[in-house]
Amino acid sequence: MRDQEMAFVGKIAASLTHEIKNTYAIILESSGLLSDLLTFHQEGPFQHKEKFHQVLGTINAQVQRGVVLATRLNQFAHSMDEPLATIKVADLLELVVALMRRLARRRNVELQALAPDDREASFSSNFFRVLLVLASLVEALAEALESGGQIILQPVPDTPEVTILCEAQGAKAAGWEARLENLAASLQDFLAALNAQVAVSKAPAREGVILTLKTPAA
Amino acid sequence: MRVLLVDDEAEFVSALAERLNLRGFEADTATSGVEALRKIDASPPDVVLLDVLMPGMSGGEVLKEIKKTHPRVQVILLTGRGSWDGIQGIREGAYDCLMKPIQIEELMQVMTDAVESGGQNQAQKGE
Repeated sequence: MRDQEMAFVGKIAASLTHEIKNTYAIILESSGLLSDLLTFHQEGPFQHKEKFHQVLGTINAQVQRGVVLATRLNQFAHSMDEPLATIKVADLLELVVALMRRLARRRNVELQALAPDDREASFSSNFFRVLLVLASLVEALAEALESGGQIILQPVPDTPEVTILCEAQGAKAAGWEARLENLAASLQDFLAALNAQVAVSKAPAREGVILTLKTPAA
Repeated sequence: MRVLLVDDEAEFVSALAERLNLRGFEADTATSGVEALRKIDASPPDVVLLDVLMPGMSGGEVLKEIKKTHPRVQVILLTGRGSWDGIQGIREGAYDCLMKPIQIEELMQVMTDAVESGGQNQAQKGE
């Protein structure tokens, strides 16, 4: 029943984001047409031509920004489609960054992902739950880091299982390790369902958390 | 080049048609699959730009009908989602698939390539 609920939420969200993209497409073509008319028609001087081009450029840039957001929201919505999906590691990390970057920046923490050597590397799991766990880890690390810190998501190469390091660079609040361990405990139901585990990585190793999905990489 | 733009969003196809006409194309529009097939029967265009998700007759159904009755007409699919719709469409004979919103320069290039391909689509070219 839970999977059906998630699939329903995802279906509605995906449908709405599709409509949002249709709206953006109309705005883009309409502003593009205005821009074309200014460019193609040279009948007499038009006092505000440059200003029109400038404003149309702003509209275009903002719509493109909206399209990127709608695309990310659409991908997120589709993460709820199936209980088991083929997940590309590169796509997963990029989506987590897109969804969580703004939240991290509110704490003046930068979030980025390092692409795996093999951009096609994939595994089978529940996409939505994997996203939920990774996003929760990122949020907790952003709260643990002092202003100016950095979180880098990266696959750990040469491991038999799918292993993702969420590295936290920069000064951290005292007791951050215990907070992350508490978070991992609170995610236990999800981790068990994913056949995954979370471990805190402490100095002298690279500090952060490691998510290991006990599923072989494809 | 004669192009038929098919999408239930009338404002989208009318603005896009005007932009293509300014660039020397001969673009017409249809806002449903049934209207598109009627226009294609009356006067087959070189290329059809076809939205996948339309109420009533879907883009997939329109594609199958075009390939059955006018196999030389090249079809480029438009989708908001990409991946699966596009792959399925190309398997069924579409030349290529573009994501909405589109870049007009990219669209013009793909349409030109489609016409110059002489009936092969992206999947066949890769074989």
